[in-house]
Amino acid sequence: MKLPYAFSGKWIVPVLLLAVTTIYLVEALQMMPPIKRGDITASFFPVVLAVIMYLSIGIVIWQGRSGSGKTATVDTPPPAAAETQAEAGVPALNRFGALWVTLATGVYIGVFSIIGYSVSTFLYVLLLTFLFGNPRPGKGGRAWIVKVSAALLITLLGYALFELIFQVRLPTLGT
Amino acid sequence: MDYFRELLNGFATLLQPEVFAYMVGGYLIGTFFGAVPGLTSMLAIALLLPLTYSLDVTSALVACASIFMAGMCSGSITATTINIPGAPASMMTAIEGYPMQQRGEGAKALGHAALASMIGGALGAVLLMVVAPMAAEAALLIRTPGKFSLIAFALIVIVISQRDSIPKGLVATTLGVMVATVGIDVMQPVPRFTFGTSTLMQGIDIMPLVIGGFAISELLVQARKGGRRTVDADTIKAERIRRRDFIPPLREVREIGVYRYIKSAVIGYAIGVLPGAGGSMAAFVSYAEAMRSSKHPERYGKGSCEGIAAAEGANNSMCSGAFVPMLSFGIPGDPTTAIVLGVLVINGLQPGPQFLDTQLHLVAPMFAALLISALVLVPLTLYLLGPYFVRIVSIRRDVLYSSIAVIALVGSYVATYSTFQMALALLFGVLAYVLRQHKYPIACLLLGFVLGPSLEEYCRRALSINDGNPMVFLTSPDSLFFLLLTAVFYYFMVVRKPKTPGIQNIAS
Repeated sequence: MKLPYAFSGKWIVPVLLLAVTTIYLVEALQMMPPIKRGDITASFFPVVLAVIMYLSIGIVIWQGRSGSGKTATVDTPPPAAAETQAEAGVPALNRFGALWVTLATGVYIGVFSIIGYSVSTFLYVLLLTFLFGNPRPGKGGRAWIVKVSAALLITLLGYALFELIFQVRLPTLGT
Repeated sequence: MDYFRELLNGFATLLQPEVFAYMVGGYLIGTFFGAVPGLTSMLAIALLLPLTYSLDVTSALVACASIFMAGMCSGSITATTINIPGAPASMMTAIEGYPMQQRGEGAKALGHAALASMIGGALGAVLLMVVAPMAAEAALLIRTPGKFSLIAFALIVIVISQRDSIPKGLVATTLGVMVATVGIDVMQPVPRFTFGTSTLMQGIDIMPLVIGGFAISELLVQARKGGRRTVDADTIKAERIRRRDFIPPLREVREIGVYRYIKSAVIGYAIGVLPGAGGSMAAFVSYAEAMRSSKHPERYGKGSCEGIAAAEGANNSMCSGAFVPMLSFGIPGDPTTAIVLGVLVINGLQPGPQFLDTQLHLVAPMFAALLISALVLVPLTLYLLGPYFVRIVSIRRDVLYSSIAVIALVGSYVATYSTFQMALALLFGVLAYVLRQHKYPIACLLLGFVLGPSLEEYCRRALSINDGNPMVFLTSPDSLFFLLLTAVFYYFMVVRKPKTPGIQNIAS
């Protein structure tokens, strides 16, 4: 199936990088001019980098456009479609797995120094065992016991590694 | 003489119980990470990086060296037994090892792989000990414009080694250099890209970039995959392996020949010295050369012991070669040595031409660890753990990745006792994940970040002392040499791409 470049999603990263580069370039130019009284300043190198970035993003976009035109004529499905087919057999939770792990990690970092290592890590690991393993642990308490035990064990081993072996002071509840 | 005495002292240091324990522990961790599909020894070293804040530098370097060596050869175990290379460097071993496994000769294939890894790794370590001081002497001759051109050469070669995605490699490398410009300027006391916050004033540390780029992004990739175990239960129903079959027959070893082992080691070592090459390229080039010059090229792709020996000898020898530019010039050629450079920087050490003169007592145990890992631990680990490895690598994904998440995130906290580093690791992890999904090489991002500040410093220094005249890069002989070398590499790697149709047929 023909998939134009605009709908292929390949443009997302180049456009994001273009935006980042533009902010970077504006900030560099606001700092000071690249060359002042014949001397190279702190903004010279960032300006050069921004120019290289614009050029290389331009080539990536150009290659992406010409590449999607070529692959569209071939009978084989494009990589994105093949990936979609491959993901059809993956549970719904895993399809957005990266997003869930990112959110869980963000919350973990947010509460880490507030509720302390032990509680936050135990809850985080317990959540991850669902995200990386079978989301439905099965009927009965045995599967739950396995996941809770794994979370407890990993939390304890982490504590032993950092606090006891490497003498790192981890945050505790109320400190 | 002093140099060799210091090297011998390195062996003595290695025999201290604590340092020795780090070598054996590092080797076992590296073997596990190298063998489990989806994990790499680089990830293991990345996870070790935060711990080096509270670890003796010698122990940290010894652990890194043995993880690196172990990761190269352990990938051959799953490559041979279940046709899943644990590490990319074992791709060629899978092509030859798995057909042997299907013929019931899996143990023999593993024996050949271990023997070649042992010889290649040991020769590589010896070459490192001999060549590193010479490279350091040569590095002393390079002046400021030449240093800029050398770093530019390294970065360009890293980019053009991304054969199918050179523009994406350039984007990732430039992004890495851009990230490195955050903080106080390298030459003047001017804050850059701090957006008014004091937190960014000291710049971005290598640690969150490494943890984010290699550990968190891997977690996000794995979170999209289903399955309960790293390797399916159906796959591990492989033929039982017996220890006595590990020893390769002398007739076959003679047939491969001493020359082949040495040649593979030299090829791997030379490729290791080059920026951006890595274990997979070392194995590939050595395998291609072995196939080209073989008396029995028809055996390749059907289970050739010679092919296994060529690939494994080269990728283990590469480990030592990769340390040469990092120690002598301060220029890491691949992500693993970039992380090892991070270990040194965290401990206030900066490699360069004088480094081996002043800090040899710190790195000599690492040289010794590379040699002992290759000579003793490679065969010993295969003999002891070989029969069980297929079962060891099939572990619960939920337990494995949850553990990695905890080590990575809490490790990030260790650096400054603040959750800012953890948040930064997550940010870089998401960025690396998005880039990986769109086939942008993360290794380029890291190497751009590591080499960026030196590139800028030498560029500006060279221009400053020459009144801003850029012609200095062409008139300075050492700079001109590296620019010409860049042109030569560009010609051979991009304009005249090497063609190896025989291997492509086998691989397909």
